[in-house]
Amino acid sequence: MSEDKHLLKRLRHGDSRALRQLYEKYRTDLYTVALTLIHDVHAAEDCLQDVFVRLAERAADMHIRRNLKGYLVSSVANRARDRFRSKTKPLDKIECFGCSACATDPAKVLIDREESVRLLNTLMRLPFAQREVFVLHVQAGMKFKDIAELQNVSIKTVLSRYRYAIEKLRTFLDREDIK
Amino acid sequence: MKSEHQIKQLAKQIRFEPDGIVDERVLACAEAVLEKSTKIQTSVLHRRHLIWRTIMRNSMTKLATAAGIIIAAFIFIHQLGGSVDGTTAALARAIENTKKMPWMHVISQSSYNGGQKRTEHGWYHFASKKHFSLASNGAAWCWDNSEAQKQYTYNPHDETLIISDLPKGGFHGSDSAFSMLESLLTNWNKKVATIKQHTERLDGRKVEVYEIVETLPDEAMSIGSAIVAKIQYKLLADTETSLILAGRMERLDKNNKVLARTEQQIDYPKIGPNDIYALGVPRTAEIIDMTGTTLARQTDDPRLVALDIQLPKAMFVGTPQDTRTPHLERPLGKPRPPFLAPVGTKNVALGKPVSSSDEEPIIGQLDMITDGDKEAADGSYVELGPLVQYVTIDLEAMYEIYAIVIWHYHKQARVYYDVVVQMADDADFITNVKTVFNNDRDNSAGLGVGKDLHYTETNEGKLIDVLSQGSVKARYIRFYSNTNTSNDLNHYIEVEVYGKPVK
Repeated sequence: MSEDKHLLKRLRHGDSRALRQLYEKYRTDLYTVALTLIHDVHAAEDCLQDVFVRLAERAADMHIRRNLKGYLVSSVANRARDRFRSKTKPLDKIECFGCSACATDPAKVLIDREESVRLLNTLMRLPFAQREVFVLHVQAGMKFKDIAELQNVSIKTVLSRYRYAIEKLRTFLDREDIK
Repeated sequence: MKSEHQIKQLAKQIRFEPDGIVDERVLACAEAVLEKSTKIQTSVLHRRHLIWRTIMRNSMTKLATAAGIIIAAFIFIHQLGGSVDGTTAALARAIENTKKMPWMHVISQSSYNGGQKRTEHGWYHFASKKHFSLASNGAAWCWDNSEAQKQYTYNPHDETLIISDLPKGGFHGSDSAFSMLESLLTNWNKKVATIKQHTERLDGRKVEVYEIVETLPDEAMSIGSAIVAKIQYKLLADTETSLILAGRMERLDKNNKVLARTEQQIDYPKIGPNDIYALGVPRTAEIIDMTGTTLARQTDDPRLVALDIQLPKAMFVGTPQDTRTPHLERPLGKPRPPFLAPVGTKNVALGKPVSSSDEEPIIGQLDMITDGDKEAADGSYVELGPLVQYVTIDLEAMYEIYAIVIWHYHKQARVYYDVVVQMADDADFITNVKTVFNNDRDNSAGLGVGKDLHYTETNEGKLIDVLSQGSVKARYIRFYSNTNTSNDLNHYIEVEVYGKPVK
C-alpha cells in the first residue's frame, strides 16, 4: 500500500495525525498551484483551506481513482477557477512576490531568480485556461489527459492551450528582455 | 528567444509556502471537520449496520415465510382453476379447505448454515391479500397486496416505520408474495419442479405429505457466497380436515448440503392483525414515506440487479436558455435511483447500426449514437435537421427490452419536444409496434397523444422504464423528436438499450 493510501485509510478512521502528514506533504505544491493560478494570496490560502477541509469531511466516502496528489491538485485548480471567475475585475498584473515590497506578505517566498518572478508575472497575462494547463502540467506534473478531464475538453484542446501558453510566454519574456 | 525547456525550468523554480499562521488555521479547521465527520460517520455506520440487519431480517422473514406463501400460491392456483403437474385431488381438497379459513398463522423457525434459529410469526389474509410478519426482536412488516400495493417496515432500533411501494420482482420474480402464482406455474410447468405425495403420521395424526423439489437456474439465488441449487418444500395436510398443518423449506447447494432450513407450523385463527400497529408497532414511530420511488425497486430477488449505467460528465456551458415548458418533469434533486433489471441485462444497442429520417446529419455521423461515447463535448453528438426527425436502431436480433436511456444533448439544459420511442419487429414499423414513451401532448408529431412528461436534458440521460410496461420484445427501436427549447434542430449523443436476447 502506498504512503498516501495508508494515510488516507487512517484519515478515514478519523486520525488527525494522518491529516497533518498529508498536509505537510502537499501544502507547498498545492499552495504554489493556487497562488500561481489566481495570484491572490488570500484567495490561495482559502483554496488550500477548502481543499483540506473537504478532504477531512469526505475522507470516509472518498474513492481516489488515480492518486491523491492528482485529486488534491485538481481540487485546488477547481477552486482557483471558481475564485478567478468570481472576481469582478481580474488582476492583469500581480505584485512582485520576490521583491522587498512583498516582505511583509504572509506568503513565504522561495523564488530566488529574477526571471522566475518575471515568468510568474507574465503568466498572469495568459488566459486562465491556458495558464491552468501550463501550471498543472509544468508545476504540478499533471498529465495532459488528466487536465483534459479536469477542464472537460478534449486532449487536443489541452495540447493547443499548452502550445499557445508556451508561445505567448516566450514572446512576452523576450519582449521584456529587449526592454 | 527562450526555449520551452528553459521556460519550464523557470516555472519549476516558482515555489510558494504558506506561512505558519495559515498552516495552523487550515489544520485547525480541517481537524475540527474531521472530528465532526468521524462522529457522523460512526453514527451512519451504526445506522447502516442496523439497516443491514433489518434488510437481512426482512430477507429472512420473506424467505422464512415462503412455505406459507407456497400454500397461498396453491390456493390461488386452485381459485383460478389452474393446475400443476402432479397436483393431486387430495392437495386440491387441502387447498380448498385452507382457503376457506379467514386467517392463516404461520410460526417459522429458520436457521442458516446450521446457525441459531430465528423465530418469526406470519399472518396471511387471503381475502384482502395482506401479509403480516413479526420478528422476535419487534421488527414488523406488512405487505399490502391489495390495490394499495404498499409495504410497511418497522425498525424497532430507531423506531421508524418506512412505507414504500411493493417491490417488483419479489421471490421467484413475482410482483408480491401473493402473486407468486404465475412465476411458480411457469417454473413448475417447465418441469423444473417435481411433486410427490405420500402419507405420514404427525403427532399421532395421519397426514398427507406433499414434497416439491424445485431446481433453480444457475446462480439464481445465493446465501452468502453459496449458490442455492434447489429448494425442497414439504407440506403436511391433515387427512381429516384437509387443512395444511406444517411446512418445511430447505435450500440446498449442488452437493445437496442444506444451506438454510425453515420449518413452519400453521394454524388458522379467526382473527388477525388489522394493521401493522396491531403487531406492537408504537403509534409514535417516525413514519418515513418512500412511496413513489418505483424506479428504485428494492427487492430480495437476487435475479434482479442494478444496471451499471455509466454516466458522462455533467456539463452545462453557455448562456442558460429558457426551458419553461408545459408538463415539465420536476427535477429529482438527487441522483437517479438505480434501475433493477434481470441478471445478464446489458446495453444491446452498442455498436448497432443506426438509420434516420435525416440521412445526412448536419453534424456528426449516425453511428455516433451507439458508439458508447456519451460525453457532451463537441464531436460526440449528431445534429439532425429541423422539424420531426427520427433515428432507428436495428438491434440485429430480437431482444427483450427492460430499459432505454437517451442522451439528446446535455451540454446545455434544454427540453426536446415530442419525444416518442417506439419498438417493432420490422424495420418499417408495421408489425408489433409498441410505444414505450410519448410526451407529444398535442400530437404534433402525428404519432398519437402521449401522456409522458417533458424532461430537461442532463448528463443522466432519460431513462425509460420498459420493464414496468410488461415484457416488450423487439428488434427495431425508433426515437422521434421535434426540435428543442434552444433551437429548431434535433440532437443525439447516445442511446442505450438494455435487454437480453430472446431465447
